[in-house]
Amino acid sequence: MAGYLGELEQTLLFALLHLGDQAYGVAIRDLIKERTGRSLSPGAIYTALDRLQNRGLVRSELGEPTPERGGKRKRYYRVAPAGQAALDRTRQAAAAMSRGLDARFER
Amino acid sequence: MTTRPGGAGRPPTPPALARWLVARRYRGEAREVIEGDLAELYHRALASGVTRRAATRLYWRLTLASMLTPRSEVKAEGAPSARTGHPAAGLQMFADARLAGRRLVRSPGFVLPAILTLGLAIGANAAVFGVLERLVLSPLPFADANRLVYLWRTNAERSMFLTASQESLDRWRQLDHVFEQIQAFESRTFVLTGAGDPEEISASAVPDGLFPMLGVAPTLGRSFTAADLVPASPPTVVLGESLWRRRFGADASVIGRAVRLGDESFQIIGVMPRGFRVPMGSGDLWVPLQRGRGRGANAIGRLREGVSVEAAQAAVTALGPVPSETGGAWSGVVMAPGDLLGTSIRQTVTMLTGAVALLLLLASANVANLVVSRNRTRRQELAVCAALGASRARLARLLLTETALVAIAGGALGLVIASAGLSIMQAWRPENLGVLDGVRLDGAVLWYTLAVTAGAGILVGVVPALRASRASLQSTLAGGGRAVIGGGHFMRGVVGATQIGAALVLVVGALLLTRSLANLTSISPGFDAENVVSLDLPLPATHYPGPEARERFFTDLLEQTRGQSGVQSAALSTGLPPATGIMFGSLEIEGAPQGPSEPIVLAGSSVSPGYFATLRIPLVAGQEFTAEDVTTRRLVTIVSETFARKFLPSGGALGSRVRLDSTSEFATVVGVAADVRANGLAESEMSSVHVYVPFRSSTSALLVVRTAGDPLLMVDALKARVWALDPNLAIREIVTARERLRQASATSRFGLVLLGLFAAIGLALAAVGVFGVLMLIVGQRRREMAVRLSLGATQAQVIGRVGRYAAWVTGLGLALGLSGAALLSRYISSLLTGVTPSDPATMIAAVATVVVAAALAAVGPARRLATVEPVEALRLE
Repeated sequence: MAGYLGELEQTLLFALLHLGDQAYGVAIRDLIKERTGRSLSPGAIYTALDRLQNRGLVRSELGEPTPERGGKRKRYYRVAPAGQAALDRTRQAAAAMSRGLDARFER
Repeated sequence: MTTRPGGAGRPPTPPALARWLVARRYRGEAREVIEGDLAELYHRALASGVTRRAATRLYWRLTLASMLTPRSEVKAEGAPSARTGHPAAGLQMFADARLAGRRLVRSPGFVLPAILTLGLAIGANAAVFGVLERLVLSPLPFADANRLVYLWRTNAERSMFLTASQESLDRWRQLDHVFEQIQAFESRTFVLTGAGDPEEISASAVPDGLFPMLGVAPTLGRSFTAADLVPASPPTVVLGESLWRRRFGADASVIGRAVRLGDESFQIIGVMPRGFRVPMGSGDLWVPLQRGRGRGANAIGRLREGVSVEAAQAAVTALGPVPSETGGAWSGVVMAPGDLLGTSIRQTVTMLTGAVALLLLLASANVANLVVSRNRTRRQELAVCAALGASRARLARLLLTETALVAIAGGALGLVIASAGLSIMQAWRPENLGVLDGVRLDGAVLWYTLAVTAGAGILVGVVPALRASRASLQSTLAGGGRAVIGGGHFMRGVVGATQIGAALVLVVGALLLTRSLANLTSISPGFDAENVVSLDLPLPATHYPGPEARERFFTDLLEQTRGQSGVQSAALSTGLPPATGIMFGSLEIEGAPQGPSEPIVLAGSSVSPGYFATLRIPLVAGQEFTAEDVTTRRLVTIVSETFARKFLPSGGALGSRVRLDSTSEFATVVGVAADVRANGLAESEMSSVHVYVPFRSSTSALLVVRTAGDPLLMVDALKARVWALDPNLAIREIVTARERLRQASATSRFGLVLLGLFAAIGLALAAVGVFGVLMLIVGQRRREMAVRLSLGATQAQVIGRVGRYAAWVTGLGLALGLSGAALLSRYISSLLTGVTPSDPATMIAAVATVVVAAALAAVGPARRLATVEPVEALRLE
């Protein structure tokens, strides 16, 4: 069921792992922006996480509304075991492929 | 939106429009979460000191980015592909169009007939509108053309028009508040010699202000200036584009070169753009108007802003009439160029416009039926869509998109067909409709086509879409649709009847015109047109300075032509039927009590002895002119039968004395000739009132020759005869009498061909429509009929039911058509000769044609019906 992950999905899962139980839209966006310089729209993030959830790789729950969200609730995401497994597999595959090529990639 | 951060007043909120867009794209919880994220980012930005405007921009940017996210598609494994779905709902229209396009491509059986049918009808409409626009609506292709008017002098009954005299021009120019300017030009003719045959060219002598008033500048060189108008300055000439191309090889270095016109050398100073012609004037050659010839000028005026043609006419009429030297009083008349068109051309074009509108109606009805049938076959698919949550609006939009695409494709095809059709029409047009050459698919036509296409699309798509989107899953899956009888049939029957009615109107029109044309061409022209040919010989004043020189030439030519082998007889004349030329004046019969009449116009020509014999026009009294009449310059005249009947005492025609001009002597009537139809072959008593005077020394004449055999074989010999006497003489035209007669009915024939074409197409469309409706009914009622058959009804009874339906549809259609034809035919009554619009024989023939077509269309469905078996009642669909 898990298979391999696309690169956006990888990025999101990493972010979820970093953020722990504070992983929601804006926080995910900020982290990715800060670490990779990549700017994602809330719609893109939500859609991709939704897909991951449909595949059983992440779990989520609704949070509380806040005033600066205009009274809208937020959704918190966590990595599911299947998602963790998929991420491991993907990372190992990348490592296996890139072994021996370290000199070409700067640190 | 203000630029001050945290401005006074209400707390800042994200832009509502952007929020609305998000709501279009995301539903339910996704929408809430995303909106929340966006709001949070917005407020955070504001809190960090960013201006409100910048925060709003950020919000918009993120909103749009969120909109463009591809829809999520659940895939079995791996990463989502980049090709997922379509861009967001905001661009739903393109998504719909692509979807509709794919569906249409998969059903060519629907798409091809639909596009073809609409294309034909839209194309016909576009082409005819192009003609209407060019001929009737805006005939002058100049800037502000709607302020240009023609100015003439006319008599009291407006039966005659003269060009403007200098005096009239002066008076009109004083109406400063009406006319911005009035430019007057005269016609000239020149013989262009040099490379090639000597060619006579109609030219216009124009003032320097004419081209600027029309707003047209030369493409090469320059136009005339005031200096060119001074009589002493060297002669200059401006060329028209087609002449420049034809005689000068489109060589740009012609500017400055000299060209020989007649005996004088002119310097070429410019070339005008392609297609330019002075209205009522020349399109080939222009010289400066240095000296007026005193014979009247063509006047074109430009009205001041806001002055209407009627107001200008009132102002000119208020000036009062001016008596002229030849008798009668002449007042000014102002005419807009569109009014000038011969009534018959105008009415023909109007009739054709109506015909293609009917055609479009027919075509739309057919395509609408196609759409309805198509929607029926997708009934279940649509019902399932509805059950899965597609709103009615969504379904309707989808269906409308399909018909919109079909309509657009039809419109595009229509433009192609119109373009091809116009080219064909321009290649085959009759001589006297040269004005058709200017018809193009320009801006106005394109807009009209767009409007027509949109109209057709709506006609064709709206009702079917509304009905089909009402699809209800339950009733459809339960097979309920098949149980419906009546209701829809009635409406469809009415539409079918309307189609039959429209086709009937078209066929009646075509048949009426056909009969009219047959009458036209069978009316005896009054002379024997077989084996007669004429050569038009204008004698330039430069080579033939006086009457003696002209007389000498013509006498020699006539004598030599008569001696030519193959020539039975020959004569000279200034006109040939049906364009015999006119004379006008105040008719006075010597001794008659009433004195000179008001100025009238009648047919008149100068003819040499032998004219009547050559054309085989019988003389019912008296005799032809004799050579002695000519040499002694006796004042004699020959009149037509109708003239004698109208104006001369019965029995005493010969010997009466008449004159048209109170300053000249009376002429004695020495002969009465049988009537010939003049100036068109239409019936009109005045066209047979004819006066002939002896030919003496006209500046231009027709050499009329009756040949022993085919006249076209003699043409070269006749030309050689002319050139033997004068090698530089340009022969303006060589045409047989038969051809002349043909050309006179050319407009009618042209209109008939087009109308016949439209009628044929209309009939075909109506037949297809009837076929479609009947097939639909048969298809729908098969089960019903199978049930009836199994319950004991005979086949005849079953077919009878459908037959009755077809009968009432056809009957209604014929009734609609006949009343429509009766209403509309009075509009074409003036185009008809010898047949009234309500002619019974024509109506019967038309009805028979339509009934036959409908019957043929019913054959297919009838055969299908005959194959219904009772066992079908048991079969599931």
